[in-house]
Amino acid sequence: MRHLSLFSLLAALLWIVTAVQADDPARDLDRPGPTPELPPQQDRGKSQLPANNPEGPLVIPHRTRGHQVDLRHNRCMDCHGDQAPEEIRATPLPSSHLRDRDGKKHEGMSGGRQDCRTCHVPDHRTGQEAWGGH
Amino acid sequence: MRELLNHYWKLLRQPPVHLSLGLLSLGGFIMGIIFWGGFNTAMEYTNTEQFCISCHEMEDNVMAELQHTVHYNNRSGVRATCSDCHVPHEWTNKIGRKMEASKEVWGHLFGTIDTREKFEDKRLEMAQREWRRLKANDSLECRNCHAFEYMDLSEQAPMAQEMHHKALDTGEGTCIDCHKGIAHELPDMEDVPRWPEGWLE
Repeated sequence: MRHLSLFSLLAALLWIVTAVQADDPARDLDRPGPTPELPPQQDRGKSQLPANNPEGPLVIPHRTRGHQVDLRHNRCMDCHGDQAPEEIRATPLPSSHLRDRDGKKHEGMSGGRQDCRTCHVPDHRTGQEAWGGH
Repeated sequence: MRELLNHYWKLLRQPPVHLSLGLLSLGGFIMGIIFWGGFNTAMEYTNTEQFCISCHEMEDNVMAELQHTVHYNNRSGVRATCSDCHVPHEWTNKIGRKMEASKEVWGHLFGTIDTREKFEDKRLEMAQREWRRLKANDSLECRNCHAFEYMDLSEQAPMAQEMHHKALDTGEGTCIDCHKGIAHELPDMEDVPRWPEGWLE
């Protein structure tokens, strides 16, 4: 008898928990979506944008090991900054990156955007022509 | 004083009275070997990493930074040690550099860079000294390992190929012009050109 009441209590609790979870709109937020199954041609080919997020930040088509990004120096800006030589043909910093999150325009890159790799991630499949996967 | 010097000068000019020629020549020879060997061994010891990082200035700053780079840790396990890049390999220049280093001993004794803050304040000055040195000797210490003659440009990233071809064709520019901050962190580069001047548009 005692076991039965304990069991029913647990069952009730479980029911409540699942019911509450089912209503939670953020339930699947932390779970990764399924990896898209691309045909081999497309999978190995150039993908300028992350597959799941066509409006997301551009991916980095080259290695970034040892590229210093700190208060002293931002290595990315050697090639992508406005002082960079055109011959390097790096994607220039868009003017949106001169604005901070409040829309205020700054002289150089806005402070909150200094750490490039917070948004841009390296993807070695891209940029085969210019970088050969390096 | 003058008499004393005269006395020793005369003594030096006299042939030996008690010692045999064999002892003197052979003894001189052996003493020479011991002196020269000892001198070079001691100098080589000052070229070891163990010696360099016996000062905390080196161990806590530059050594710690080196450990994240490809010159310390990489897929093939070949690495560079301090003296490979910072001490000339050729004997005469090595002695010259060792004499310059006496100023670094001074700096250590008087704590010129004995805190991280002092080190950061001097970082640009120290970096510029090394860049100047490498620029002046055409990046000799880089080229001791990285020789254009044995470099397969086709194995490099296309952009690197292009730049290296340009360097070979024009004969201008040297490694350090572009490859700064490859083994230690860069200082504030506000006023430092990041590419050889007039080389790129």
